[in-house]
Amino acid sequence: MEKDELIIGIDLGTTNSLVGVVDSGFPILLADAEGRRLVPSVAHYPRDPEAKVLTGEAARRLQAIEPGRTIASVKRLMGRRVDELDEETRAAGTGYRILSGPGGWARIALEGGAEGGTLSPEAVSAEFLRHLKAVAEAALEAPVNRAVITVPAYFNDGQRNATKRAGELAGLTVERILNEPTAAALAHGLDKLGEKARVAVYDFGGGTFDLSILEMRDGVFQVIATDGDTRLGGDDIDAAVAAHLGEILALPDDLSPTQRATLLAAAREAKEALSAAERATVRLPFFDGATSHECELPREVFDKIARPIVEKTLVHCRRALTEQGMVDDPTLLDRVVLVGGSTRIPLVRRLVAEVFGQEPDTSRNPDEAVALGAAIQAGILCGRVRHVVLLDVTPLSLGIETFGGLMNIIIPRNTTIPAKAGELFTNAVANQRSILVRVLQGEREMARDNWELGRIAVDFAPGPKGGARVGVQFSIDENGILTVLARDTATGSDRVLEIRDAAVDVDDARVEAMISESVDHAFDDMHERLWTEARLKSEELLPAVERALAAAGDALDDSERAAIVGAAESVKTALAAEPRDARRLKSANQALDEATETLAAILVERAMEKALGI
Amino acid sequence: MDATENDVFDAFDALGLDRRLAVTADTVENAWHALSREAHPDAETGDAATAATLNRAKATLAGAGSRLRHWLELSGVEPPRHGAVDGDLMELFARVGGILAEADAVLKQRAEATTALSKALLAEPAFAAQKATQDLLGRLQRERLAIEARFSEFDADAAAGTFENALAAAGRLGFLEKWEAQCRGRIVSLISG
Repeated sequence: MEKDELIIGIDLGTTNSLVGVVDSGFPILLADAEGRRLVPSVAHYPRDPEAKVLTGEAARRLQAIEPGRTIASVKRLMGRRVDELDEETRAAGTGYRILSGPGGWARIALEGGAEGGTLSPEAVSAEFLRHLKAVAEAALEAPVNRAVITVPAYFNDGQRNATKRAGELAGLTVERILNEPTAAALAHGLDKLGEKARVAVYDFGGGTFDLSILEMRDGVFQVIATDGDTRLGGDDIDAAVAAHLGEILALPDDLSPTQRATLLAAAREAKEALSAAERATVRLPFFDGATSHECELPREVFDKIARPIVEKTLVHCRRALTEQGMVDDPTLLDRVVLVGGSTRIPLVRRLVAEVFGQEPDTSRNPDEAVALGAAIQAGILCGRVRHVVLLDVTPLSLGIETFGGLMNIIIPRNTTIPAKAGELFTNAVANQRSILVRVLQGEREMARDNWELGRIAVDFAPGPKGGARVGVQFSIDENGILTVLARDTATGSDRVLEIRDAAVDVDDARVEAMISESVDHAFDDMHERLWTEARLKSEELLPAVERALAAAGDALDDSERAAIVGAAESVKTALAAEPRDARRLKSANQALDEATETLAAILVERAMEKALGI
Repeated sequence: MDATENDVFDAFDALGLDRRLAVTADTVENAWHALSREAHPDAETGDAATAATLNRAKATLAGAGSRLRHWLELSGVEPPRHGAVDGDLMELFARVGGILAEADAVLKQRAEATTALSKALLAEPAFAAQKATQDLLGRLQRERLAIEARFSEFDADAAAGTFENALAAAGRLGFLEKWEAQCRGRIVSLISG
């Protein structure tokens, strides 16, 4: 690698992206001509095919105006097959459509069509990267061709490869795919190189969550463990708040894409306001052209809406702490660092402090640490930063499917990278030509429950049963990306095995045909689906209420008991009512859920006391 | 695991350590740490192949079971593929099976519960399963540590050309570590609710 040639560091975020570089030994972030460092990860594709694609702030302003041609949160689609996407992401709800392209990979169809059909998520990400490259070139007054790009630590092989492709599409040589929490740790630790410390990085961004535990000493940043969820972020909180606003303002279910985008933007604004204020006012002027809406959102209510989503991050924290044997001793961690815009939410800070048994470090800007870290890693690679080395791990176990559909782990998760491991394959019958091996990532016992990277074909030389042997080496490089080599034991020569897509390729004509089918059907049976969901919940809730009331005995006072019984009756009435009203049943369920809150708390408390032998 | 290079790989040698079974986890970690900072591909003197070999050596020596198996292999002794479950392990085996099944039953019920109230109704059995699993894990760890405490004895045996005790221990460690991992997995799932 050429030293001293400039490398930039890029934080390619779900919501915002940033670019930085090391200058005279210090990482700095680069700003555009208007002085802005944060570039919204939004791209707008004008209807005029001659017009330039807009990115950043200019595109963000068009989000609610032309939602069908303005793409946000595309990171959620990177390296994903459509059948893995959750309902929320798939529906996108904002006008453009997400379709299954060749191999089942997600593609985007703009409203009114796009030049050349559909867009890949990589192509959209490449637009942001071009924007950042231009910002860097203007600020540095020099051409830029090489970059370090960050990804969530929990990104799998496919998502990492997609990010790398995006960089290449933007004309950048991607020198390293770097894990976001690791980058943040670099930024936080660069000025404390002499110190020996154990640090947890809690990285809660717009669309992804990561938790990493690192040890730093003598300039070595060693990741010990990492955990996370690549589909959990501030976006989910916005959607939950929007759903709540829709309910209290009695907005119709079938909002237009523009209305949905407006509502989501209002939800996000309220969320951001509530990080500082105790209450926020939500205003939706001329929402359907005529009516305006306004309501108050107290922080207390917001916390209640956001809590189930934040709780999901805590599950990962507890899991990592338990696995590292740190769960009962918070002093084993010297610091807990908060990264990502969602860590501005006071509820997040409070719950993180509870889980880790210490106040988190909020001394740095949570939006900037990852980009600064990317800049530092870029500095390490081009020789501008010395005596610092990152030892990262692979977040997911790598394995192959064995007989009986089980996952056989070849490289366990949390193994330091680069890593390699070999596996010997022999022919099962005489003169077998080859076998097809499924390569998987994940932690589940059954192969089918894990993520399939693809298949490799291992070819045998002719020979008697068990006589042909091929050694296959699996290597995960320092980017967390897999390569598979087959070694011919006779000649000793190595050959790279291509990891082929699992799904059969679908030609473009079929893709275009699917465009018209996929979304149109989705909403036909919306009411039916809502009803079934609500009914299942009622059927679970009603017997649980009976059992819980019996178990609680006199721990409940009469009025509480009466409220619960009344709410249960409403659910029963709504269940029996004709015609079926899904919304009514849903809100009756919700009321019963709320009425039984104290009851649930009493039961948990009792169980805890019993477990502790009080 | 690495069948392609099995004949040459010596994890002790890779980390510059004497081939002693009774090496502490800290010694392994420190040796790996010191060598890795020079060998990582980002370091001026580093390259990916060396770094991967160091990482593999650390992974091999970090756990008592895999260290013992590797040490036996290097000594030219084939470690037991499937250790036999001897008398007192049998009793433990039965307990492990029962407690894990109990934990799985609770986890399954909880996975099916979608409301706070039905989850709350499961809090008591969940705490009970967690405590039972934790107690079992403690016992398994004590058994494993008792075997590890005999590692210097095995080193001495090896010097005299005897591997009988080490071979028996390798079989037992295999089971104990597998059960420990299963217990830890269940505890993590139970806590995660």
